[in-house]
Amino acid sequence: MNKEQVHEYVMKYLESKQCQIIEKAPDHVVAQLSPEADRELTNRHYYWNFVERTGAPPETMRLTFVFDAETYEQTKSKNKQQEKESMSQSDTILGRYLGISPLSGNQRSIQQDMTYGSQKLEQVFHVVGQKGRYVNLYEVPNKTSVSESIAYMSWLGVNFIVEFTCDLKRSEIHSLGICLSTGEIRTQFHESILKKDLTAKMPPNTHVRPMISLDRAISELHKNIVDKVKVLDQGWAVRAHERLREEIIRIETYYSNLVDAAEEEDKNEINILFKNRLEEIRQQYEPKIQVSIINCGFFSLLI
Amino acid sequence: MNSKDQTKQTYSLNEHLQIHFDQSWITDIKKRFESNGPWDDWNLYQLAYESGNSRLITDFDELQSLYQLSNIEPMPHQISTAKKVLTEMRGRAILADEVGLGKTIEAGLILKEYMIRQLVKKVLILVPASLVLQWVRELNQKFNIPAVAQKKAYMWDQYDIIVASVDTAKRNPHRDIVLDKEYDMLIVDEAHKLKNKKTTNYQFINSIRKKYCLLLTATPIQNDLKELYNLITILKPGQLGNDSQFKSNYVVDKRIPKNESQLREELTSVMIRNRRSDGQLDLTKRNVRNIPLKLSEEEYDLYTSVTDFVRKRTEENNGAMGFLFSLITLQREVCSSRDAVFVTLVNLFKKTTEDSPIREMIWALVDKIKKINSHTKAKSSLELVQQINDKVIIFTEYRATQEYLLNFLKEHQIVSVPYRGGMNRGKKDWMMDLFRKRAQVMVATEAGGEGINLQFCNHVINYDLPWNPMRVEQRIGRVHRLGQKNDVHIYNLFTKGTIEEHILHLLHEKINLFETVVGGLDLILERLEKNSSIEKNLYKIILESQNEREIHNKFNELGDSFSRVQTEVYGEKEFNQIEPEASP
Repeated sequence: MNKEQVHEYVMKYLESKQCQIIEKAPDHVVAQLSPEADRELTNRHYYWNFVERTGAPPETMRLTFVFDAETYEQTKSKNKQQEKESMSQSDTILGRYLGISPLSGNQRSIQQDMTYGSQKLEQVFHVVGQKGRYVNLYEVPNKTSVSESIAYMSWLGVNFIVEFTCDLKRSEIHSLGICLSTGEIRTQFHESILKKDLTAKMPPNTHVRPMISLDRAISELHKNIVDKVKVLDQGWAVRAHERLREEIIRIETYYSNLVDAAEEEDKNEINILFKNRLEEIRQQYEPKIQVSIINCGFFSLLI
Repeated sequence: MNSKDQTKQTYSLNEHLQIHFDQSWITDIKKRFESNGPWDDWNLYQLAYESGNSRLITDFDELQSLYQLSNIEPMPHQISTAKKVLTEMRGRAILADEVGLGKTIEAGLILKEYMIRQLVKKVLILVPASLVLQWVRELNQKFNIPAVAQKKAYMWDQYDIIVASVDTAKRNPHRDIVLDKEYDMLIVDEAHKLKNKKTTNYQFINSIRKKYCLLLTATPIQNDLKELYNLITILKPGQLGNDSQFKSNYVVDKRIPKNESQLREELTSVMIRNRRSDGQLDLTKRNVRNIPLKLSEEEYDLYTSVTDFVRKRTEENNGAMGFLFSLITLQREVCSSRDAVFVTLVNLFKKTTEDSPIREMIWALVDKIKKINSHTKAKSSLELVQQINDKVIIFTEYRATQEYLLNFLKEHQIVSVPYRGGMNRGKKDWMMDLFRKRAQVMVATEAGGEGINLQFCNHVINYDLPWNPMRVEQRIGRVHRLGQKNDVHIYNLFTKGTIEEHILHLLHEKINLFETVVGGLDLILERLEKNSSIEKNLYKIILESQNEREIHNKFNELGDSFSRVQTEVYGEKEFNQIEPEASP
């Protein structure tokens, strides 16, 4: 993600959590967090516990999300300079030593670096991943027909993540949708539904067709993934396995020599090392493919 | 482990490769389907897909971490090292760059890369106690890696990424906890201290279970081959055969290898060593100016009186070396500032008994101090600072001199900040920040320790000199390091006809400490200082010499033995050759 993408992402998050935007610029944004966002981002478990138990009105934090630290610092120090000039006569102790003195008044806002890879952004990713996992949505009909009930086709959409792991890793996303009436499977499902107008509330005068069982649908999707993975080049796994074999031989040669040469009383200890070395090398190299999901949901789409 | 397996469904592609399907979401979605909710927000659903998509690792080999680091710009050799460790050495390597080329950065880069790929979660970083906080800070600030310093035993379980001192970790209760865990990555700094496999440190580290492993050392080869073999055994047991095979295949004598090309080949597969001479890493030039100063009559009078005082005490006090050394400090302090010598005299006075004849002598000296009203060194430093008209760092050995200078500069409208070893971390950072943004001069008493990187400044004034070459190098190293864009100017102030002249002669002419980076200085000193430290030797020479001539000659001898050890360390030709070529 580049700066603009991160910016957009964070704004969308703040909006969906109903945070109050106080100041907005290309390089930063100041937001008064909503209680929900505060719980998710500020790690103040004790505070929120206290609020819950005492019923005290919550005071949420104000955060400054900085997307471009360099330009932000520049403008900040420029502003400070101006402030300093405008109040140059005031001679405070701190001012004398530092050339600045803290201003009173404004509510303190905590600065958060929001670059790709920063811990706060990771935290946002994490809570979003938790809170944006299962949905149930309906496509909004163009015009509400009064006479006839509109029939929906129900789809189970799943964003699979497939990870190819040995001592290194590569991953793919497979966004699949299966029609719960016909069993038809569509790829790039997520993209296709982004274009649609969707709502969480079932519109009036609509109905959903009968469906095939969820278990069946999911196993069809899994089958689809297996078919896709099967045809991929498995060279990486073959090579990883080859490396693993070589490592095992090396370790076995080394340690069996060592065990043979060792005094009886030391043998046990060496054997433990031996076993651990073999185990860790397996963990490191053994090739495997893992399939999990980013999120999934039911999508009732117009036919 | 087992409970996790139950939520997994497996499909075998072939005998070595299986597909595991995570099942946990299926129960979740079914439950929600049956009770029609609760359902999540559509906007968050889209965002989750977006971040999931951005975290995709499209390639086995391409470094992902480079897109995620905004607080640091790794150098090309650091990037190529990280790449090589990942794709060729498979995450087990000895990082053996020369000092100052950023081994920590390389290790951080590699760690970050594995973390992004979710291949590493639990990490143990073992370092000397003095470096624990520095590691934590670097990982936090430069790499956004949430590392913590180990302080209490419960932390081993509570935190995923722990920086600990080897000496703590190897002792119980920590030892048992650590050995009971499986770490995804183990990093050991200053790994050359693990040379002997009979030590508890070695055995402890060798027993730790780990997937990936980085050993950091600046001086791996200078140790004997056996030691290198022991290091490699931690990483890849058997890589060089077993003990006796290794000996018969590669070793002629402790430091002399055979079958070099083959050994070199084997080493390249486990070790990376970048050197300055490999190009692009060359530091800017150092310009040295020695500035001789003539003490004013009053100052010189004080100097000779103190010297006499020291001589007399030496004759009276046979044996008590500690006391005599502190007397020499007096001499050094006179050259630095009258404030410095005054403080020490007062302390000395307090230690004497009321009827001691020494008291009177001290008073006489204090009287002489009172007569001094212009300070030669301070004046010429001021001129120098004005002439440089740029950021300058002034180093002194003495607190009192530092205070005096700060005041003196202030009187002359030059903004300066102090820097001391005793300051806490926050204050140190603050002072550095002030120096960068507001002050022209930093007056520092400490150069060692970590984290003072002053690449934005390229003028160093040695107001007085430490007698330990290592500390001199540390001073210069604060500004003369990777990232310094300009040539560095070093100004050595020395007072003529005093011990300062001898010291400068030794450090500059004989050891040539200022003009170039003396490679492996720590190693040379280690060998040179077998019996006592170089500083102590200098003190001894001064105490035992009858006259200036003798001091001069003995200093020269010391300089010569330095050069001898230097060629010993670097002349071991065959030895240096086996270092694997660094990849471009």
